[in-house]
Amino acid sequence: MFLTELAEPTLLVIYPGRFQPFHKGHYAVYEYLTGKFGRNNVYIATSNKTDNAKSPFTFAEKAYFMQLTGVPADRIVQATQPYQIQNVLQSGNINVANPANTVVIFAVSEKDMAEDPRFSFAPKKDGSAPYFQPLRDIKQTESMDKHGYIMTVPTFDFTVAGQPMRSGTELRKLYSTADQQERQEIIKDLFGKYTTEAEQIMNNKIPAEQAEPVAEAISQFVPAQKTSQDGYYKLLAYRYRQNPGLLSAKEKQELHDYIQNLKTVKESGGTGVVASKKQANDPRYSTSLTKDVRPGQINKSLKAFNLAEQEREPYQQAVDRLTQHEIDHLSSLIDEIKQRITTEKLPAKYVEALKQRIEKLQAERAKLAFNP
Amino acid sequence: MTEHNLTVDVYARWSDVPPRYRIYVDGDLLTERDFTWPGHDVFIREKIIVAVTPGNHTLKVVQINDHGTIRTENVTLNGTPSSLDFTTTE
Repeated sequence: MFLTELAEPTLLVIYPGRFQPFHKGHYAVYEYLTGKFGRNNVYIATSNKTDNAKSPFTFAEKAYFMQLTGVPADRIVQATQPYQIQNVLQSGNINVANPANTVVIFAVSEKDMAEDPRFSFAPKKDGSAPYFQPLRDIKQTESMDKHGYIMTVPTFDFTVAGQPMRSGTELRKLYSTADQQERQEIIKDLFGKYTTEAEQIMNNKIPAEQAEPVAEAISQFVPAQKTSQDGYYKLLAYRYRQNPGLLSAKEKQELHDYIQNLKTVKESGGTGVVASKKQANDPRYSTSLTKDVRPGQINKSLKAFNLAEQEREPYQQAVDRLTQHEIDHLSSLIDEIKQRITTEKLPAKYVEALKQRIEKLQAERAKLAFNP
Repeated sequence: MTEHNLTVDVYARWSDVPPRYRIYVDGDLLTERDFTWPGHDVFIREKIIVAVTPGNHTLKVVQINDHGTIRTENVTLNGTPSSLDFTTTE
């Protein structure tokens, strides 16, 4: 039975889609359809199916966006399979009194027509015509119990945040890299108005992209000794220079460790940027990306910015002090041993061993004292 | 003193002249950089090895010119989320 033969034929236009998310490009299609077929005949059908990346929005969230753009709530239909008329009708939102007296048209975008094999309209294996037929002449249509008709609708180009936008994929990419202010602009461009609910939904479903760092810069920090500690060790050093015997063995060890640590501090400077293979040829790495503090510059900078409580001891001075400390330490050991040999009555073999020890210590001391 | 691994992501927004910043740990200047990368969604991950005694310490990222703005995010201490004021243990 053709449409021309139907008594008061009813028209049902379904605009199905994933709508991830629904935006003003979709709304333009909806407006186009309502202008052509009447506001009461057009419905938007979409599912509640989600996956993490490509389809993040639930039916409720999509319905919220649709209403934000201006689609009436009673025109929005949830269907697990929005391209199947029986499934769409099961939602209960659409009342079809007489299927034999109703023509159903599905509106499909040019892009989906090109990509979806459901709309090839090739005959079935038995040679019969498939359910979906292309809509050529509305007067030559049959009722929905026999066929559904596919109407191609244009894709409406639009801009979001000044950029041309054609797909949800592009949009999600743009949103994921936008900052908060830009996100609010995107929401306005998408739905015609901004609401905090819309932003919350978008933020929950399109999280900020986890960007990789453009550079990894490595620095090392070993703090200088504190001023109070410096004072303590300087006092120890002063006492030691006056008379090494004034320091206990523990104090001598502390002083030795302190000087060693000073040496360590000075040697641990240095910062830099490690470029990946891809970044290695980028001139920004070799030019102005990094202006690291050079060894020795730290003290100058600290002083210049009034950040240093007390200027640190220069490296060479600390090394000289360490060397002198070790020479003094060896000298005191040699003196102690000599004193034991002269004052204590030791067996001859011990005396011989101690003399050999003295020779070794003297050799070590001579090595340290040699300063070309 | 024990070594700890500190990281902080530094983002910048600028147009003509890049922002310049310095990094301090406990008031000690570690480095100074120009952020020459365009785009607000890229960042430099500062990886700082700190040898400090157990206790409270402070990391500061300070912009030292008036061009653009910088911001810091995602501070971690030994791989776990932290803040610019961090506490180390043995």
